[in-house]
Amino acid sequence: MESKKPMTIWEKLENMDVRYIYLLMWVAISLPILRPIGIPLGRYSIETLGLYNFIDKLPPGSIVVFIDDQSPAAAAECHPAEIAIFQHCVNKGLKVLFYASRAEAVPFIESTLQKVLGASKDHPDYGKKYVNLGFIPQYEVGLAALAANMFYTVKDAYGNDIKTLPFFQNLPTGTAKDWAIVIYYGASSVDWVVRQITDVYGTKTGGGVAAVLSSRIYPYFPDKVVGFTNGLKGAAEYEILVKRPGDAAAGMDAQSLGHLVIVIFIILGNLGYFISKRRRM
Amino acid sequence: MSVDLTTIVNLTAAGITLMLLSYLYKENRFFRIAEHAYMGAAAAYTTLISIDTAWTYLYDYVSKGHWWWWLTIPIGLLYIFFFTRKYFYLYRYPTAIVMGIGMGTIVSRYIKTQFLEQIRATIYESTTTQYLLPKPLDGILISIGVLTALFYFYFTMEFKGPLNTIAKIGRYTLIAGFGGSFGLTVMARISLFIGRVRFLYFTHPGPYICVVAAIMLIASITLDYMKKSK
Repeated sequence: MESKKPMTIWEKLENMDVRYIYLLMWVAISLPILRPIGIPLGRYSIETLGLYNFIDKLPPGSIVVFIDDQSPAAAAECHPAEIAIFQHCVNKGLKVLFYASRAEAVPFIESTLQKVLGASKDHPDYGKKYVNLGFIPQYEVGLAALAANMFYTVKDAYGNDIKTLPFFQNLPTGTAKDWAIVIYYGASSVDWVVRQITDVYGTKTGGGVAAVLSSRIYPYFPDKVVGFTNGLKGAAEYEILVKRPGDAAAGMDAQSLGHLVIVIFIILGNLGYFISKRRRM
Repeated sequence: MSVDLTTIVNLTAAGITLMLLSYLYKENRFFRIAEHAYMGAAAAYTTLISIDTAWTYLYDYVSKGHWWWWLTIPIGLLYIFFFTRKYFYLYRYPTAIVMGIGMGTIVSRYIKTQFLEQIRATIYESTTTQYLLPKPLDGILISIGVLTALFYFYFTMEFKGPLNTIAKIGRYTLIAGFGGSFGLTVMARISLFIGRVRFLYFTHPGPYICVVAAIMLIASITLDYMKKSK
């Protein structure tokens, strides 16, 4: 009878049950969440600084449009960025117009208002500086219609006639030309915002996007997209810049350790592959 | 003892999160239940918001005397014929309207934004913008990367000698791009997982649910191990 050759450590690693990696990842992420280590963030990225500097230079009263396109799944990355950027707008005295291009994103607008202002429709500045238009369907078509005529939406999310709100009084054109910047929050695509706003009206675009979208946003950066927060790291950077550390900054230790585990396993996996291949040859 | 609504909502959210994560151990009934519940809830929520939004627009425009907005209701209801074989063709009318408006809005801008402007920006940015390296190096790298990656997709001649080297550089550029996308995707997935873990650990009664789930997981692993041993 032929005896089985004992597996080498590299072969064992190659055939390791993937569930051990999941478990290790859970542990690596849980430990810094439960007991923060304080791993430094490193220098600010040019993408985050681009957006921060652009907003910082806007004169008070400029209109910033927030497009919420984040699904609950992408909220961990996009929502902290939205809160931090809105905080910056509030600090600078800018006017902010919110709307959701995806039905599931509607609650995030309310949450952002609550977390930064402590109130939404009951806030004294609601209707003057901040307006929530709620859900506008049909993504690109909806945005194109809003950009062409801001009054087409008729009512805000709380049923107020938008023509009665001070926010919409004395607008020079009532179109996207009046906007200083459009900031997109989500994980799907920023193409349609650039297509319908930047290339038509010249209004710049920004983003508080999930990292998975970053590779699609780079072709527009920094010409059309002035800057964006790249995933949790970008959101954490913006939180630190506006001196409001929140969920993103708190999650960065876990992010760093999680990446470390992945890098180690990629190196081990590759080593195992090449060593086993060499032995077989 | 009274239980407030937030606790019930958090309890459900934590339970469903763990039921979905249980798939990482193995396919199971809890995962299936949570998956279907999530899909159902998302569809119901989207439908409700859509109807509410549609009604807001419709009511306002009709009350201003724009009676033709009523036509949107029968046109929209034609979508229901998707579920019939005999009248399926009726479903195509609202679809055609939505597709037509969508295409009309997008195509007119597409060539400028996604094609012409990208060419202009590539030439302009590669000569004026500094990303990571000092100015001339960044520009040179971008130029080489773009030209060689485009050359890789030139299929009308055989790549031999120096042409093969150019195509190879193009391939490496593409692979570097894919690697960057993959890295960002991994970063995104971990961020999402961190979001759920933070919710489970710090939102009452998430930690209790975690303890129950951990006990269930250990029991499940033990049972599986015993089955294998037999």
